[in-house]
Amino acid sequence: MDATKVLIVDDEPNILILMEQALESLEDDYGIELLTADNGEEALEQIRRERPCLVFLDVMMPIMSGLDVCQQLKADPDLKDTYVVMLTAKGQELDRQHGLEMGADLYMTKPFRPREVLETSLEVLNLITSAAI
Amino acid sequence: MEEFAPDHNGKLLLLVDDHIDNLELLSRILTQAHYRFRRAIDGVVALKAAKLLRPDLILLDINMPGMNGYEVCRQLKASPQTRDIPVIFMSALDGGLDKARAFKAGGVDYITKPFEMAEVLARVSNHLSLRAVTTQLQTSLAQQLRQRANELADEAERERGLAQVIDKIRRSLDLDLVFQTATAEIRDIFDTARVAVMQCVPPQGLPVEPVPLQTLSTQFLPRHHSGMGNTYRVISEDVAEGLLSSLGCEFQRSTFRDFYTSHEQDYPLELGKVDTVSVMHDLETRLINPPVLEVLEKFQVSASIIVPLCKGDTTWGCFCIFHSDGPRQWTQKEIEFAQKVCIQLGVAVQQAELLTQAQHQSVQLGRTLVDLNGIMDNLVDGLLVIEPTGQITRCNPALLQMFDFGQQELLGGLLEDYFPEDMVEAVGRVQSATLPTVTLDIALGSERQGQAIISPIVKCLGPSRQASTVLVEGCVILIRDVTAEREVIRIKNDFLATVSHELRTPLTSVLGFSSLIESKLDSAVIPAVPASEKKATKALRTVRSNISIIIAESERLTALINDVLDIHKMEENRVDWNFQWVDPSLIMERAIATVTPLAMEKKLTIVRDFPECMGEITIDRDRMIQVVINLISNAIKFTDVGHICCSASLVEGAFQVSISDTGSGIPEAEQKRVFEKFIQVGDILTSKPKGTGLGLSICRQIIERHQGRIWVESELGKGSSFSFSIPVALKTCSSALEAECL
Repeated sequence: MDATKVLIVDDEPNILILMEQALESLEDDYGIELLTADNGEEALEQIRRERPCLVFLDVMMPIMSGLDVCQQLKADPDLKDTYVVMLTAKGQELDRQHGLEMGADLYMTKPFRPREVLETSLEVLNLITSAAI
Repeated sequence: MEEFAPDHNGKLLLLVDDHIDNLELLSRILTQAHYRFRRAIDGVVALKAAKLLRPDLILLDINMPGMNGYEVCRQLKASPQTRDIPVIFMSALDGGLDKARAFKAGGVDYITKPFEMAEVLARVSNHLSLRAVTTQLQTSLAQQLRQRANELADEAERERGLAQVIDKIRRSLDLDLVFQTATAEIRDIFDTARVAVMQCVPPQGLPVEPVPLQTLSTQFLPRHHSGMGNTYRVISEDVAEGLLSSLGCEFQRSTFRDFYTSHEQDYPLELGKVDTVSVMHDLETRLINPPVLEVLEKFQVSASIIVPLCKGDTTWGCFCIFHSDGPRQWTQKEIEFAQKVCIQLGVAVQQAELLTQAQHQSVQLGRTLVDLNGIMDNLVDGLLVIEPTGQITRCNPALLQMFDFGQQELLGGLLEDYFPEDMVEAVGRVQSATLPTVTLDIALGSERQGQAIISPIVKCLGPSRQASTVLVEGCVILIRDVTAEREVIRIKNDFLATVSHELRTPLTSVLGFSSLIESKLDSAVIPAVPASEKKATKALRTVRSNISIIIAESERLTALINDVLDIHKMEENRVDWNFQWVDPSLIMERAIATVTPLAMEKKLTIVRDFPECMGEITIDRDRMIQVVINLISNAIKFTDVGHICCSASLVEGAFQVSISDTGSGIPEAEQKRVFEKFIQVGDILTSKPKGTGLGLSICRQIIERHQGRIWVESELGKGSSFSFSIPVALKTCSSALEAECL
């Protein structure tokens, strides 16, 4: 697992841009590489190849939904420690429950403040770093 | 009685004497008096002659050779044939007449010899007369006995007749037939001219009003003489040939009544109520009004018995027996007979009426049943009726179709044989606990969804609907195909979810980018512009403030979408409630902590009015915090100066919270509506809206889910107080809780 890589998955280009901008300081200040994918399949490929430590995962996407990606990821012994933040507009209780059941570590609903995303990322990265030490 | 007259011409006498001289002398005497006679010269001849000739009198000598007079007399008296023939003994004075022996032997008299002619004739004549009188008396007595026997036979006959009539009356429920039988039989038994049954009828189509019993005596007056009195119509009649039929004729109660009641004896009825029977023995002896007389003559009435015919307590009509050829002395027996028949007729009328009612009801029931069957057969919903035993007593075509039963016969079968277990179980619950109704989702055939509403069929035994007086007689199950309905709900939910998603995605960009712009402005752009560039600086300030507005409005839009989804879910009852033990003071603290920044912005004080530790209650913690936050932030929104007081208490099993402010207050007219959706206080056009308009509505949903209530008290210009109260089971302040409080 590569603690310097964060993957952002969303089928909406604008959201990808937004996320990249929101997490800009990770690149600038912490030397973390931001990766993007616009569907579930590509996300899985990238996760297997790049082994990011943190994935922001949109739920409703074409080809493969975020929930499926999460499920496969958590089922894989090599990848199951990847920290998954579900990022979705489906803010209903049932979906939240569902997402957590699928193994998501955190759940953030759209719309969100860019600062929240950044703070969450930093928290998660700190957590991971300290665990690694 | 025949008058005594000594005319004994032709009477036959038997003379018995052994002395021919005596016989000769007697013969002479008697011949002169025109008697017929036979003679016998000894006892044996005399006995034979007496048996053969049956003389009216015997003159018997005592001293005779062979059989003496006493012996002859004893033998005469011993034979029934000759017993009644009077015997006069004859004896010479010196012949030793023993009077005592003579009478003892059966003689009626004695004559001493030598005869005095006058004496013989007088004695003979006397005894003949005496015999005649005796015979006559005997005959008359026999006649009287026969007459009495006849009377008894008549009476028995009448009793038999009555029994027969009553039997016939009772045998039929057809009133016409009953009346026909009764009139015919009675006319036959009474051997009279006319027997009729009359019924009270409404005069001009008005309903029959019951006539008080005592006022009814019957009346015959043609209609044109009438006032507004009751009318009687002849509805059944049996009349002798040659007489005018009165069937269908109508008569009025009138002065005729006075004639009857003032002249007739009143015969109390033996059974039931005292009533008046009108009896007229002889028309000739009456003073009758000419118009009445006219009617009586028209129908040839010369004597009558009229008995009121009562149905229960009311007069239904009357029963009339008319005689036509001259006076008739009705006997007490006959009157009683008529009364008895009339009582039976009354019973028959009542029974016939009951039968008619029953038939009418049965027809109505039949019609209702047809209607009901029609309704049930055409119901879109499936219908099932079951007995407490679980046996199916009714179902409709819609039900058979719903469960794909085809033409299968369910009636008589058991519920559990055809329907799923949870339905059987629910039916059991309804029947045993007398629950009002139970609603149950049930899978129908062809992958359709049904909803069953199970209601008990209850019969109230007492006046009130208490459990003890209610008897469950089965269940009605109404099954509705909710497939389409559920599909609509599903589509609506999907739609809402989609809309929410589609709204949130662009909103994420708007909110996200404007936030990024804001921070870039603050971190990179504004510091880079020198203060000397006045125009640029001013523009930047405007941009900065505009961006803030965009962010605030985006957040409001987000809140609105969240609220809409929230309330929709609550209305659909799709919220997962998370009830847990929690100290309400914790809830208050969390809520206050969340809204404190808002209050500080407006320089408002939040006053805590609740203990630090209140004990634990079971509620949905997050939702309850949401309610309190909502109420406090509302208070802050509508208050410009002063303070917000948050009080909470646990009293008498209820958790009560009041949030009071010193704000603008709410007009009374609007107080009731504040909990409705999209209602905001104040004029939306003039005052800037400050919320989504859904907050209080959501609060009410949450409170009601906790079986509580929420309300507002407010005075315009002085402030408002929003309160809610929910019933709770209290767990006292435990050590674990205290730890949490600390």
